Amino acid sequence: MKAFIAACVLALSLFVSPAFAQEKPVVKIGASVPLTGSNAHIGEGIKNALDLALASLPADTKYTYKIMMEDDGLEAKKAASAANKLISVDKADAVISVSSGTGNVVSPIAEQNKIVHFGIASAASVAEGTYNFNHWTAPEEEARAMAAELQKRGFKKVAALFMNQQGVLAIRDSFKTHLEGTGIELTTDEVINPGEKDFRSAIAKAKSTNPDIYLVIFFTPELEILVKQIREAGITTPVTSIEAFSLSNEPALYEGLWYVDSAEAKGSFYTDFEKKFGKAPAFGAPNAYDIVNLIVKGYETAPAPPGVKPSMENVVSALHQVKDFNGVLGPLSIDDKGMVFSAAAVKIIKDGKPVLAGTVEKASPSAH
Amino acid sequence: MEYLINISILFSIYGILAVSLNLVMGYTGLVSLAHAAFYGIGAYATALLMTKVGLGFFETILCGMLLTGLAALAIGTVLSRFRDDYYIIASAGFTVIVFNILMNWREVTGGAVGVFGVPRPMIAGTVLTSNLSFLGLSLVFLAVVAGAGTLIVRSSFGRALKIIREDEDVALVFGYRPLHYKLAIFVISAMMASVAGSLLASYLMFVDPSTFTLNENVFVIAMIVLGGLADIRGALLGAALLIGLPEALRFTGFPDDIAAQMQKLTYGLLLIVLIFIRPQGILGKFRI
Repeated sequence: MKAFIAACVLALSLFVSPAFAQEKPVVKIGASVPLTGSNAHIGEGIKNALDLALASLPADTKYTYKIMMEDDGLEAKKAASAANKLISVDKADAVISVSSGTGNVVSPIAEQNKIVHFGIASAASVAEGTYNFNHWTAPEEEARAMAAELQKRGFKKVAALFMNQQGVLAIRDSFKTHLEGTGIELTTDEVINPGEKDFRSAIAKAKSTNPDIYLVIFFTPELEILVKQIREAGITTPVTSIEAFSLSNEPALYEGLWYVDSAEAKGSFYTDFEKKFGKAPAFGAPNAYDIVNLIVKGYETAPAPPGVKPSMENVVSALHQVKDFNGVLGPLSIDDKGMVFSAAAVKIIKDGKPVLAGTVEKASPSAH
Repeated sequence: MEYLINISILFSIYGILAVSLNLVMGYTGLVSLAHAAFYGIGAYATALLMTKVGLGFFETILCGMLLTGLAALAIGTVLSRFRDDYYIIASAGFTVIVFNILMNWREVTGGAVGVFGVPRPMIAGTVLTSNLSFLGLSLVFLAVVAGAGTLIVRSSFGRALKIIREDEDVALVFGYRPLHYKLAIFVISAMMASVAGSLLASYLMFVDPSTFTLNENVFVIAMIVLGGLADIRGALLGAALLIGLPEALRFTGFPDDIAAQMQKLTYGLLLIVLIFIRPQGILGKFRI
């Protein structure tokens, strides 16, 4: 009988003990991304990267992490609805957005609800406020890298054609600033609207200035059309770009050309991604992977009583202390403005694929 | 709760747009593709005047309405001379022009980057930071616009518009001057659309040109066709359906991998079924 009572007491104590009774608190990470429409491939790539990051987490984390997705079609009003649903209905502890347009909408919503928000956007405004962060190689960094590379390679006259798009304009403004004092002349500085198909007059105007190199920053399909029309005009002068060659559907068009790209993913990210999903990671996928790990880092290091999630203020504070975090996009640090610094890379198209051509001399993260 | 408030705010903004377009399209029979432009002018007037000049929200609404009214008067004078397909094409041209100005006049509009940090309205020294208070304000504007719309369509002016819609030549025989009536309702309707734009800018605290496209205009046309042309309640119902339905479909529980695509598919199917059952719209009194 005594043995039976002892067994019952032991079983009861096990049942009511915190370790047995309590499951790990769940930290929900919501993502507002385009899952439908012409940019659905971006959302799909980010969703896959988030799943991969979750699957790669160690088993001994203090909290259980869960990913939730909502479609915003890359539209402002849909992004507002998606973020509001994630925060108020699904009770997300952190949200992720992609693009400057939607990031600028999600950012005030996150701030109002005191929820950590990570944008993958070129606009620094996405990171404004206490709870907002942004993880994308900053336009300033890419423009700085381009100016440095042009100088290193001895180019003196650049004809630049830019697409009228948020991220591209941010690069353009910064590029012009970085050219100051380099001795490099911007012989053409033309901004062309998306949807344009005939670039011949712009090309003729640029050609008349006798540039050493053409800098073209457009997206598909405008980029491909522009580069083909440059070649059709008999121009053999080199063409370069920032990011655009990596996003093109026809990388073979730029065979042998060097360009500046956003930070290069390191380690086994690419192979793991391709192995799991059967395709290469899309635009922003490595950033999304890093963001999950940064959020996890913030939660795991923020002080909190056992079995309870830390306060959002503590998570934000922990995130601001992140220095040289081992991300797939290199050692990552978060500055006091919420910007995650990652260095630009110089690449070259070789056998139809972008490969690293060299490293760019790093700027100090504080330069941002 | 915040999510429902967000949907309700979007409904009130699109409700204003749908009522304004219904006055031109449903009651006067003019398919206008210029309303996205008026919506955009209102949004940018509020965004720029609040962030760069420091005017209050209500002052910017008035400025936006004035600016939109003048633009509508100018373009409407030209448009009123057209009918049917020509009217549609010419009005679409205006939206394209305004979109390009918003995209390319970077020094003023910020271009593709847009304007961020648009403040929320302030009433009696209190900033409407909470979405609930903003909803209250936007519902007041919706009520005013819907009320004004109802008064217009029930007046002798509204009856003249319906005659013009049915037959402009008959209207002339009765002594009405269609050109003046078409222009007047176009300007009134444009000023209403501008209010919707002002509310959107302050609610999202951000504007960029991507919202003010022909696609957005077609979206509002779908609202009034679905809800019912020539019926103020129909326009509101259409706005409620097209804003609420995609949100409701977020809760359908499709597998994660195909949820977004299935929601879109279901949305499209439901619209087809609705139009098949009620070609004149749910509360429609007029069919194009």
